[in-house]
Amino acid sequence: MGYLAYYCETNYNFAMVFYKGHSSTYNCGTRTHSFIMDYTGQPAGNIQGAYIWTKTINNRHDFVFLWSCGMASASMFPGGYCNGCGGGWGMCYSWLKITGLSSDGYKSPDSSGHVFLGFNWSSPNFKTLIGNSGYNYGAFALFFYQGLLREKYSVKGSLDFATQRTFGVQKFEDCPLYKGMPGLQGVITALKVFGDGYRGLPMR
Amino acid sequence: MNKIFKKFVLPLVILTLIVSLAFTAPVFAADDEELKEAAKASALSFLRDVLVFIDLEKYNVTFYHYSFDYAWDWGENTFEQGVHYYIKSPTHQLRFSIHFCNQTPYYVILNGEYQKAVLFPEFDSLTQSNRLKIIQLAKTLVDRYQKWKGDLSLKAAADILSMVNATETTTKTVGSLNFTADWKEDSVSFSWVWQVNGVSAGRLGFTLDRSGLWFSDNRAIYKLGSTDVKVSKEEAIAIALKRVETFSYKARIDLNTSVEVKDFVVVKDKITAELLTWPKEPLVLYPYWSVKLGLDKVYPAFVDAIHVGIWADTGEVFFCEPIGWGGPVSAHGSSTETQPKGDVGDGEATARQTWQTSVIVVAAVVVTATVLGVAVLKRKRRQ
Repeated sequence: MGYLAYYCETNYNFAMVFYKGHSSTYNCGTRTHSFIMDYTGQPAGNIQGAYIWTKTINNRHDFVFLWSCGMASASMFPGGYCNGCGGGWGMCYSWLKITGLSSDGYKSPDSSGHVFLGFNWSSPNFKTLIGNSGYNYGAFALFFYQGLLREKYSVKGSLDFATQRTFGVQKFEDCPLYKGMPGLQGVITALKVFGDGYRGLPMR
Repeated sequence: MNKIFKKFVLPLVILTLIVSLAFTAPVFAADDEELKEAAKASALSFLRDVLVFIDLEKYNVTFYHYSFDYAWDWGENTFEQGVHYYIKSPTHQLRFSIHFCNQTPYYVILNGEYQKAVLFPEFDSLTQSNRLKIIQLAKTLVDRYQKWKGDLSLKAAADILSMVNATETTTKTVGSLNFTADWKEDSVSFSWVWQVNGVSAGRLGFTLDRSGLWFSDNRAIYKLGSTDVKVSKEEAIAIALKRVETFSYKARIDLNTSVEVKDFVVVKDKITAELLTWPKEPLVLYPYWSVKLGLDKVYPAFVDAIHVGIWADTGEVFFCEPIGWGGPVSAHGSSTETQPKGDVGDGEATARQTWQTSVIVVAAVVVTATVLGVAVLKRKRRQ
């Protein structure tokens, strides 16, 4: 993943990422960092934020969605440089290399042109059923990208579109994913949007 | 030469034609200008006749984008279209988008992109008089939609706005209609849910804020197949508890090893049951009990509950799934008797594959018939 991130940074003007999988945290001695896991799904196959930070050298990643636990938790935002280990902390900062993003990029988008999506606590499995009309959370992710790619909506518009198609209500702000819902062991979790919810994908 | 042509070349040409048709048919449909123009006309009609609060004299309406797709989740031969316009004035720009299910609108958005356009200034200060103006606007919207659609059932929805004090957040049931007004700091959402036997038979809803409108009518997509609820909530929970006694799933603990997880301990205080609907067949919903059984601890693969689906008419369990968090539960870790909509990619691939396979089968039958036809014709001529 680090190689791909570096390749995109050095060959393209715009790069986006979608990741689905496990994640966890570690402490470098100075502060807590987060990592996602590679195809093995094991902590040994970790991809640390501090490592990603060394690959995003040209600030070309503007749109990152990590469907994984805790990647958008308050303790990992806004992120920054860690004096302890000399790397980035917080996945949002490590990928986007920017601070000062709106903490609610859906309701109050900034104009940074950068957007980060992730869960503040546990992320639902794709296979977990939403309940009504036979959809699961994987369908939500699919319709989100259909909104972006096929309908040419912004992140905000695509979240609304995915909410309508899976939850049957017209706006993301009325969706449990935005309002918060019981996650692992009943702790409330939500899909957070940091930055510029008006960000869309560049179209040819 | 003539014999060779009739025996081999002609059938081969026909076969090639039919097989190529099988693969290009979706492209024909997707490019169908008639469908596109009809959708555009319907969109403009909706804009002109339903969204009457927009003074189109002041705007320049410009076509932006059209999408067409066979909806992977709506079954064969069901297509969705998206039509998008920009509505521009010298000072601001609105985006108008409308989505169709088999040519019937189900989702409409009209809003000022980047919130520079203010469509409803009443939301800048939600005084009582501004709230009343917004309710009047909502009533006009439902009235206009009823006339545009020719749907008399919507009259009751419009009437509720006159009967109920909707200037505050409220929920009211009138007849079979469950109405909700949900006021927030800067927006309001209205919804009407038609209910039979406690089962949702369709939902109309829209949200208004200063920048625009989000409008949704799920009745354009789904029909209710049955309202039979013969299984009580208590019976549904008992059935789910019985099912979970023999339920197991496999959790992957590393790349090569999976463990079977079973013998779950359900915590009674963590049991919930909701009467919801599920498509037994494409776009036709049937009532079912969605029972979630919370567990005493976190089991492998971060599973903390089991979700059981039970048909409300027969009591049959049609899915039993672990509710997991974080990474994936093993692909073998479920016992869904009905394919959920959202096994991303697979569903789409399956739908398309099924469609193409069926066309190819038809093509093969037609080719066989054609070749046989040629052979029969030849034999008859010889006689």
